[in-house]
Amino acid sequence: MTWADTLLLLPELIAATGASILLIVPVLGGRARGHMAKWAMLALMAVTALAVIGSTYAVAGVQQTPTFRAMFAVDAFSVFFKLLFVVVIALVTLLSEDFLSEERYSTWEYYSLLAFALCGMMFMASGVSLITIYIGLELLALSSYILAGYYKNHEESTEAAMKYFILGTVSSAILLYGISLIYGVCGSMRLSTIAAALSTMLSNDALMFGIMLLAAGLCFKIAAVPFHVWTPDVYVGAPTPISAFLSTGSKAAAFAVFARVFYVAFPAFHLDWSNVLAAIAALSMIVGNLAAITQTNVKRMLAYSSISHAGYSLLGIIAMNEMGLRGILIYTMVYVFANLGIWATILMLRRHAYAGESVEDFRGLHKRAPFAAFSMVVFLLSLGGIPPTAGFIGKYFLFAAAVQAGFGWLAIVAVVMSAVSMFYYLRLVVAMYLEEGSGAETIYSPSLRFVTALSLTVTLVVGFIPELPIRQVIESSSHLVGRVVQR
Amino acid sequence: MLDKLWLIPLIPFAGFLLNGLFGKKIGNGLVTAVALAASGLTAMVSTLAVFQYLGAYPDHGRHLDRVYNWFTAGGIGTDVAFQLDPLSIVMLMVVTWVGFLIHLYSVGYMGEEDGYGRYFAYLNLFLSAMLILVLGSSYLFIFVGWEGVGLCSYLLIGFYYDRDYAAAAGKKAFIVNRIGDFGFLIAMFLMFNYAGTVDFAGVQSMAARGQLTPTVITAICLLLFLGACGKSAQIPLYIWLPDAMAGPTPVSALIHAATMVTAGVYMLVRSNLLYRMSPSAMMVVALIGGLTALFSATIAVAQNDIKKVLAYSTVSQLGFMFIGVGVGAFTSGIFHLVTHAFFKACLFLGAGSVIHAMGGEQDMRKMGGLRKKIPTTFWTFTVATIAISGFPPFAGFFSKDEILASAFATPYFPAVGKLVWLMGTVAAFFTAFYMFRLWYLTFTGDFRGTHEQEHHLHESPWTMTFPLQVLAVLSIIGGFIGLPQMLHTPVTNLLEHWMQPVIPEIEGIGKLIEIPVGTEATVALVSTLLAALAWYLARQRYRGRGLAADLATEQSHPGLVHTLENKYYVDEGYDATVVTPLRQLSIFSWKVIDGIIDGTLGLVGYTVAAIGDLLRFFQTGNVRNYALMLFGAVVILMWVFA
Amino acid sequence: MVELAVFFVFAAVAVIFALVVILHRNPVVSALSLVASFFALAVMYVLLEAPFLAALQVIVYAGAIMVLFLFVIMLLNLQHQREETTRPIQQALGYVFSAAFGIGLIFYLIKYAWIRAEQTTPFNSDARAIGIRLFEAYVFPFEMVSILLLAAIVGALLLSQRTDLRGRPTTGVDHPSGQNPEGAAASPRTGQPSFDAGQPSPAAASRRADPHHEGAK
Repeated sequence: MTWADTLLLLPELIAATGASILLIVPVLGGRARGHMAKWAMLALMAVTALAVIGSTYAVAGVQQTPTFRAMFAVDAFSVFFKLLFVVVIALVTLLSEDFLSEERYSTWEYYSLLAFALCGMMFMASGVSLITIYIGLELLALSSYILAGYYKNHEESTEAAMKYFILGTVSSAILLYGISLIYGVCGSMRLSTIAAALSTMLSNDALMFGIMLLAAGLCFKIAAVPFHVWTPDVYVGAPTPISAFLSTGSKAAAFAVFARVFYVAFPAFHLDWSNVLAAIAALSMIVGNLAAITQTNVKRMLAYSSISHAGYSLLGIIAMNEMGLRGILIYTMVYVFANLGIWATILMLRRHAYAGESVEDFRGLHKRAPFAAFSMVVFLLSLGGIPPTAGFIGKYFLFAAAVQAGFGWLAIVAVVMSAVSMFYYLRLVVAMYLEEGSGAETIYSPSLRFVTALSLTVTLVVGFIPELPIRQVIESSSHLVGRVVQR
Repeated sequence: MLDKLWLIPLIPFAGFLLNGLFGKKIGNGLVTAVALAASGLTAMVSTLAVFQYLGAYPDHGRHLDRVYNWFTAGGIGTDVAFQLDPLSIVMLMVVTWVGFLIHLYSVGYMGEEDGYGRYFAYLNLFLSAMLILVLGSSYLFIFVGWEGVGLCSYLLIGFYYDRDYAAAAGKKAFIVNRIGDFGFLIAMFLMFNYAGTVDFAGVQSMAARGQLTPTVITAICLLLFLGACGKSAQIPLYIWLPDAMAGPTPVSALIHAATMVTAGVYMLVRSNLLYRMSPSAMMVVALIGGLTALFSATIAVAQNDIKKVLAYSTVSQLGFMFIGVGVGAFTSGIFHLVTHAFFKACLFLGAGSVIHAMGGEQDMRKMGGLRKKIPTTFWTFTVATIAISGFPPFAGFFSKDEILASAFATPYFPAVGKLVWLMGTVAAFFTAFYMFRLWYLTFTGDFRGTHEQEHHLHESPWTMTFPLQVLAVLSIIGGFIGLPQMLHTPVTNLLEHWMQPVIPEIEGIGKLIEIPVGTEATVALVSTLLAALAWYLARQRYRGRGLAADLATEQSHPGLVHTLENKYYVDEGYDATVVTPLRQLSIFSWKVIDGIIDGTLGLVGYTVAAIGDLLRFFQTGNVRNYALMLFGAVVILMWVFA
Repeated sequence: MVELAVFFVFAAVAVIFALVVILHRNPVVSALSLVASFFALAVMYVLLEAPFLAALQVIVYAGAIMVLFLFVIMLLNLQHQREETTRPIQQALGYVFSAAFGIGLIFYLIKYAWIRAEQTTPFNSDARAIGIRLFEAYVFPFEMVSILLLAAIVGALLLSQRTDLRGRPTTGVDHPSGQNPEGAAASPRTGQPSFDAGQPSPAAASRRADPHHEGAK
């Protein structure tokens, strides 16, 4: 380990240090200035983003710089995701502002935990060894449990946190068990070493079992059927900004890990695990979309919709080709922004604690908040995959990848299911534009406006001029794809 | 102009933005000005572009205007590029000019409605999307327009949201279309996989060079046709179109008669090379077209809502177009598309004028004797009725007979061709019958509505009658662009020559149809005689007698009339076979798969009292079941897959 | 031979006490049985020539963690808590899944051991070797864990902070006395943080009554 290594670690160090500072501030007398916390957090995000960008210069020209005995690597892939995470956390910070001031919860600890979560996510994106990935994941999960229960005076929030905690621990145990089996067979936790070990192996039951358990643990994090049971309850119960975080940042991090682990470590056994994941993906799309149709609670509907989106994204992993990996990156980004925009609108409609939840709250929104209603339509169309929104581009890559990899049936399921998904997305459009009535009042703060505007910009830019983001994605993923081709 | 083709869809889009954002503030007068300016300017700019094209491409080749690179990285993208060729030009002219006329008409028709600005914003947006669809140079790019028109159609059908069925109808239209789109999307993926491109010219040249296997071509053709079935309302995806009549009548004229629903026909003609290489796919298209034409024509006979009759008529006429495409007479498909745009738009707008005069009444049983009260509407409607019924020398006669003659003479599948011809001819007979039934019920006899309505009756303002007159004239002379060979006029088959570059003769690929003069004359004679017979029968039954004859039939054959009135119970069938199970499946996945926990495992003990109790929470409750489920899933993974 | 005998004896002990943990109704007994089971496991480590791991097992698990468990159980006064009713089907499914899981695991491990039976290099597990590896090769994850623990401490404190009866958090921005709010965490009643805030609101209660059926229309 050298000082250069530590420099590569700068973003994580900054996030962790920042989290600690945010913790100390109230003790030093900052408690009274709760509103300052938001700015401190945003500043921290800005510095972290700079550090992430700075680290790209450190690896310029190098595909990957593994450090710390090849447990941690800075590469274009991790930088892509880290930047995404920083933006997500910054936006969640903005989303949280009103919630915190209205409910009068302590702000500094809240942001501190968000920063810890960010730190964990960045470890996940950079982890090239199962052990670092696992600890990063735990750091994220632990922060999420507490944040989900931050609404301490609402039973639902506490209950959601408890459910999330217990089930998360179960899934974490499953994951760890999988890792230990893989370690037992391959003798290493480094992804590249595992890949090398696997390439000389024939079929191996214990190993397959380990891979299955690992996949199960990760499927829990991305909320894929049948590991999705926690999602609706937690999204409904948790504080709304945290639901937004769980459905975007947390999932994106899990997908970063999913993609890296499976593309780097397990290409040799693709034939064996792809069918399992295909079944999980198909189930997620079908159950998620169908269950969403009958929901009238928007948060619950979004939870089921996010389950189905996990299914779409899985296509990219199942396909195991260049386009699939690109698809995952694009789709994750696209999905994150569309979802954050929707959550911003929901937060805007919150009346006391839990409004913005029922479809009725959205009635006649286009009269009361035309900009919000319009952007909401764009986000919904993006989630439904209608061109020329960003969602179409993402789905297009994923579905094309599935067809290319010979999973045509899965692509058909996906396309049909995304048609079905328009059923419930359109219901919100109908409520906003085609129904009269007085829905919930709107409290449209500048922060929410900013989140909506930024998400809208990304959704439209990726839709209209996708060339640039796609180039970026190709650059960010090519070195992982290279390994696939080598096998 | 040629290097600025992107302006054409952009102008109406600007109109959409202006009216959509400021419609409420600027008042109806300015909204009208913006909307008319946008659509009129579009039409003029398009015409200018066409003239420049004629000057620049004397051989009528393909003009490509690449705007920017949408996405090509990753090898599955395409450019944002517009093209102009004879086929695009035909569509462009129809869409922009008919579109302009209908904008004009809407000014009068929608004048008193709420949401005037919103209406024109949507209408302009539709025009923009439709122009992308018509001018786009690759399958992927026209897909943008394809979805865009679907979205606008959805918004416009649901325009009268205070009528509860309108929103449902809009949603139905959108979802059914999405089902069709799945065919389109998968077809594109196949093109990428096997041809490496989705550019029209690229795919066609790959196919022409034999780079694609017949199986792939057939698959692509059938999938594209599935997409076309959704958009163009063919069996089994036609069910949305009759419901779409919930929207304002000018919308029905523009979107659901003249332009959007013909997009499927346009796309198939665009892909004519692929179809010619796959006779089996063509046969499917021809048969579905024939069935749809016949089936919906019979339904139209028993409808009493004036717009519903026209809606089923549209489905039926679209079926004719697909017959043309399916039997290999691509030009005649486009020919019928053009004439249909004229006379059907005229019919819908006329119906709109009638409804306007009747104060919103759409039921023909309450009309009658309107001939004297609304004379302009009457004569334009009459012209269009004669045109659609297929009497020479009106527009519909030439296009329909070219299709029927081609079906009779098709070299691809002679026997099936004769069958399709038979279906088409019978459908044509029904067409004349239901149109004259409509005509007699509406315009002759005594007025059957209320006194108030009678008092209210008035001719529509000029903004409405002017488009009617223009379209009526076009319905008369529109057929002259495709005069058949046998007439030996100086300008025979104008359209076919015009379309030559789009439907090239290529060695070894399905030849084009040569219709013997004898066949053509016979077919024309037969269908004209049948149309005359239908007219005679309708006259006997309905002239001045209202619905007495229908009531008599109902008494003697209650089953038949009911079946027809209820549209063969297709909607009910869909409800029973698709919608209800889907809903049940939804409830199943939600309540059972998720509720394995609460429901099946039955934690009834999860009571209100348990809420505040953390300890009980730990020990009962969902979590235990959730965990059990997680564990079960892992065990299944282990045993089934590992 | 002796080794084998010791192994089987202690394996049996470990399994039996593990069963007691999950089957006994009294949580204190369960916790103590877990300690016993851990001791038996420690013996296994000794047999595998890993005395340092055995010591760690006893000190960390049996010593620290289980004692903490016992404290919590006693503080919450759980020993008389009767087990809530479990649905028979729940139980049955639980048994079936567990059995399937266990059988599968044994099956796979035996199969795997069969293939790799020849590998017998003992691994070096004295305190020195482990220490060196931990602070050299694994220093990175080791340090990551410290961040994880920090976050965990923050979380534990936050969740266990008491709220006053009006449902206002004592850590709120307008904390009246300005005293160190963390002081509240020292309260012995921290085990039941938020539910002594009074009865749930009727709205929350009705929502809860029908958690899955809000959209049943």
